[in-house]
Amino acid sequence: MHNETAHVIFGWNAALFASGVFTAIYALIISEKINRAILALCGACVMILAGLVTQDAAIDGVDFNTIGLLLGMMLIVGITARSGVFQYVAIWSAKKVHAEPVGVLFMLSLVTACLSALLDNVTTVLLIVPVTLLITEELKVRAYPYLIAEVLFSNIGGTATLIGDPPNIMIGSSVGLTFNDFVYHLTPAVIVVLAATLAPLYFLWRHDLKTTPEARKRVMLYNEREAITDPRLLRQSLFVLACVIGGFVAAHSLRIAPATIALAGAALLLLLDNFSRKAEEQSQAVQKAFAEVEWVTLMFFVGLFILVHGLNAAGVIRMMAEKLLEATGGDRNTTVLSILWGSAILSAFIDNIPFVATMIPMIKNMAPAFGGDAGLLPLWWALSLGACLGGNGTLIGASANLVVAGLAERAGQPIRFVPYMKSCFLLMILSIIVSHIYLTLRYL
Amino acid sequence: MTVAEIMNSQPVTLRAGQAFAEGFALLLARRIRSLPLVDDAGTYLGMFEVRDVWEALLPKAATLGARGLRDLSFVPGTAADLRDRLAQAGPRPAIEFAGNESTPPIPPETPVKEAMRLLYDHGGILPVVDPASKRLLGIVSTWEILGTLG
Repeated sequence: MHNETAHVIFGWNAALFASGVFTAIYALIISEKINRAILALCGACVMILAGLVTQDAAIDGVDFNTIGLLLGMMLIVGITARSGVFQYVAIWSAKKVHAEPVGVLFMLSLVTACLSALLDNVTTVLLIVPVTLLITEELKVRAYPYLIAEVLFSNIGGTATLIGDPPNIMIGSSVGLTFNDFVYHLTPAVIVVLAATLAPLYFLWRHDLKTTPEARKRVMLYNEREAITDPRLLRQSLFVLACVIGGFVAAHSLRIAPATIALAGAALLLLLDNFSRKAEEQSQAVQKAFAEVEWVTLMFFVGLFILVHGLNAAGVIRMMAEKLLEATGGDRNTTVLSILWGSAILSAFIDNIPFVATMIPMIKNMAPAFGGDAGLLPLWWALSLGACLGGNGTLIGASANLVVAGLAERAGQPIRFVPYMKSCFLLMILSIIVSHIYLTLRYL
Repeated sequence: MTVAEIMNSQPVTLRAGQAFAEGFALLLARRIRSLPLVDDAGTYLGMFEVRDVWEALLPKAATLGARGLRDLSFVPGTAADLRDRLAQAGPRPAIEFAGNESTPPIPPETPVKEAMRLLYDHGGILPVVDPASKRLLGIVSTWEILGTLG
């Protein structure tokens, strides 16, 4: 009896109880008083202990395709990063524009966006920000504009693909959308958003982007080849990354789930990296590789999936979907645009992962109203664009923003909430206007 | 045996108002790795260490801990660059650089074995501080402890 759900819990209506638990957990996540993984796991346990879902049903509710995809990519990126390839790319790109500050801003923004499309956003900024701080210190220019650009472009680039941002991984996995689907439907929008965001950045900070020929010469003396610390690992990593990306592209025709591809890639890279090592060295290397996995994030996902499953089992998600349809009059176009704008504004202030986790079953519940699953496609793209791009609105909108802010603080170039919001909220709105036009022209 | 019995109760110290350059000169002249920082009342404020000198000489990106650059092989550097960085840090108060030390202050009644464990874990020197007044009472290093054995 996996999906048996209690209707009355502690004398409360099940829907009311589930909503109460979910709202309390959500509020605590927003308050940031307690780690979000702890909260999600506590919420999941309450759902099970209260009888809203059985343990078996709770495990069924966890989307292991999302977990496996995240885990596999975290392992691959963690090992690849040790080769120094990402520093190489950043330095190479800065030298390509002769270390001219405006050119460096554009190049590092584009590199961030491209890397972010293939890697997790947080990982991308963790790799790019230290090199950015090095280059800007050498150029004697403020790092602030560069760091802000990297925040924005990590979130924008991540929107372009299935694996670029957790909301896309969740949507793709839950709905069965492929890597190619995301590239075909979202990448064009992301390219326009990129172009639309670059220009204002230049006008906002053009006065800060000046240096001396001597400083530029110092950067030009950097030897990017020296940044490659392990050429053998680099070859292995690039081979595995190419196989994994190729696997994602061919996944649909091969009928292989993305998590299998990512985990197979991680396993192959671990094997190649450790093949010639002694047993003791292998233990250390494998331990190091697994230590770099963000287990807190993965456990947050597990808890969240169970929490949302409990909410779904109690019928709350169906009720929310009905309310949204009622509010939009059941009109698909209005619903798509409401999801886009609503997701963007909410994602600017709250974590987009629990938000998307809640929205996915809600949108699935709307299928009958829009002629089945095929009719939901624009809604998924609206959710992805809104949730991923919305994270740019405030400093707390996405994990990558907070990571960059933390590094900036330690480097003595703090990024504050209000100044960030003053410039970036408008840039986020601009990206949503572009998305609005894109969705209208292409799907509505 | 407690650290109070073996500590050096008249260590070389750096005053809160002194500049980075003075701290650096003292470290260099005495060939020591760290200096306790105190205010005029003798209150312990932190340690000024060789690590702080590295922090002033290295690019910020390399001093961000686990999240910083792990390799600087690709960055050429000259003695002139380093002197320039040292000159920039020179007038800044030494206290600005303190506070990152890994060695915790210990009370005078700390057993020597515990001090040995701390030195094994953290290296450097251990400031012995009165828990009530926060005054620096002395320091314990590897040499004070090994000296009792000789």
